[in-house]
Amino acid sequence: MKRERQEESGVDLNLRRFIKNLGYIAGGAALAATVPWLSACTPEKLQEIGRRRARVALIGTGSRGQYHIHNLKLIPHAQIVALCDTYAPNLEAAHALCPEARVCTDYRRLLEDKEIDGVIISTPLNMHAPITLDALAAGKHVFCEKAMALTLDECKAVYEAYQRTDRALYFCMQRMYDEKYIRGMQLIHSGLIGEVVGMRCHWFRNADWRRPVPSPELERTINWRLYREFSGGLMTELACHQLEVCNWAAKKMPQTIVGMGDIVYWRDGREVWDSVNVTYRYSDGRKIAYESLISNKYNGMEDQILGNLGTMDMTRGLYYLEEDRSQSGVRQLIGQVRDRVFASIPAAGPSWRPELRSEYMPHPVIEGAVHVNGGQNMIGVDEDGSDVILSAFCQSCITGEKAENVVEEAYCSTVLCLLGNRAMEERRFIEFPDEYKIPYMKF
Amino acid sequence: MGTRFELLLAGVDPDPAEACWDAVTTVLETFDAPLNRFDPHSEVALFNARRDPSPMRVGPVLDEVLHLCGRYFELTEGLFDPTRGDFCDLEFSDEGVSRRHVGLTLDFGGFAKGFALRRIGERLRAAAVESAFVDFGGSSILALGSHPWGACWRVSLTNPWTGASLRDFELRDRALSTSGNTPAYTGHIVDPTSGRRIDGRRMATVVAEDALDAEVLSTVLMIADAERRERILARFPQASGEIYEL
Repeated sequence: MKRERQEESGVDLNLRRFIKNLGYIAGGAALAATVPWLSACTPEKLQEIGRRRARVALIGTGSRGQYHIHNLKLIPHAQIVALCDTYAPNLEAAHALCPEARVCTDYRRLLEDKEIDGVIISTPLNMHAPITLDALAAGKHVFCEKAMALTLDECKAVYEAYQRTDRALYFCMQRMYDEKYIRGMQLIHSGLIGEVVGMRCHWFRNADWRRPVPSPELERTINWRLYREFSGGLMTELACHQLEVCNWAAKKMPQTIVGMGDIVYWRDGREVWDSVNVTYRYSDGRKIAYESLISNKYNGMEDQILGNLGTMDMTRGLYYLEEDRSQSGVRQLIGQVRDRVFASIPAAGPSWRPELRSEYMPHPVIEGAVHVNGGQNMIGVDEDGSDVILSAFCQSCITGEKAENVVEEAYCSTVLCLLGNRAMEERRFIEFPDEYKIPYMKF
Repeated sequence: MGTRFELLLAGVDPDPAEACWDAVTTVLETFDAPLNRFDPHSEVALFNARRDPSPMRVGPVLDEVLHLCGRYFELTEGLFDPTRGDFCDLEFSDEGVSRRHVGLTLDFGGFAKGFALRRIGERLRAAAVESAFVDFGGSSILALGSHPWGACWRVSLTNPWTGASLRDFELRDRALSTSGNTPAYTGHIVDPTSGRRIDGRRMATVVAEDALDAEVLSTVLMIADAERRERILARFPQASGEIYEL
């Protein structure tokens, strides 16, 4: 985390800069219309909370929990008061990061603590729903890692509990708080790339997705991502964010799902697929082509929104126009160098490009340095929105204000991931089941 | 010089890059001041406007330029001529430059960009720049080293009438100069030996080690017939040229 901290004024500078940057882009009212979830964390509201601090506890202190601890320590309106984990080495590591926090191994004990405003859940996926439901029932504000839950019925239960509660609930859908995604989405909705005609998302890595296991009986505890009783595999761990972006761009939900999943390379006793290809089809025929493979990383991670006039590369914060005669050769070269592309540039006369991706000229969606997540880090990267959404949650712990649409978006994308898994398991074409539809969804 | 100038330095830290840019703009200003015929105070404009037949003293830049032009005039069999008349009507003496008749004027349009690029290349090499792309309005290019993600700099030549790509050039420590007509601008190249305007859908490119050779030759190729083209190019072993009838 490279960011300033200003204890004196009690203002989270990073959050304030983030909102300010977006304000320049969209203007206040337009901003609220495109990204309504940000209205719960405006700089004015941050000012109102003064020196008050959210007293938060972490449930799950593995690598992702510790990543959140690093971010929380930079948020002036956050105070880590307790840590909980069933795996002692992780709990000790987290305690070393914040020695002033109390520690425990049973999250239910922690939920009884009246001195705790909110909990941050970074456990294996199978525990997301049980802990979220218990925490809401105990009157805690909740921030939970994505995906929402391991099963469709659990998702529905969490969604319904959220309808009944006055507590704030966040799922770590960090792209909703990532400046380049927000700006890119505004440009898409402004018509820059024309009509959205399709989406291509993929996540490629070349790694076994394993963590070191100190003794064999801990295999399933440590490598929970690889086993179906804990994990939805690549879909819930990776695709979840990307499908959310597609729906954000399309402003609707896919209706039919088909896919294939296999273990292609990592035949090491794991139960989840290391290769998935899923197609999501919207009612108007547009499709999301989703692919994830973890034995080749050449293609990295990309979220592409395809329009008839251009392409938005959300991951890099760049867009490309189908017909682009806007800039001189050297400007194109600058774009190429930044984008690690080697291609020819026009020497004289109007420019012409063949239909090859490398020949397109990248345009940045925001000026200045853009943090790009190549998708290879298994824990989290700097400034991908995770820090901002966590800061927004801490603000909600103080104000009690819910963030609009965050739960709905998490529900929609998680359900799509789980339906993708179902389509692959059952090897059939799935229509979106009525029982999992919510009023927020448009088909 | 009435055109866009762009410089891309790759792998150079901001401070030395700033120093390079200063050196480059100094070169451009040094050349533009005496050679820009559109600036009424430039030496060239004063020479052109002069009615006095006596020799005019010229500064070191114009002096060097005129001597270089004389050399190219010979090597190109008179097809390169900055005088809009006959270069032979210029007289050089210890008192300065004079001309045999008042109608003779100077125009370094097909020369100055190449001359500046040659000097800029020298400055960049002296500053240990290994990778740079210098572009004078798209028609005069100097490519030092290679693109950071490739083994050369790749430039495509487009047909200005159709937008189609004519060919790609792979440049590494080479200059590329393009001359020719475009739909918007035709007939600006004149055969100095006959006064004939070169019309038609024609372009010429020259790739050379030296940017000034490339600049001069691309214009000459537009004018020369096939036989002369071959003969003239043979005098520049480090250059290769092509003509496109579009």
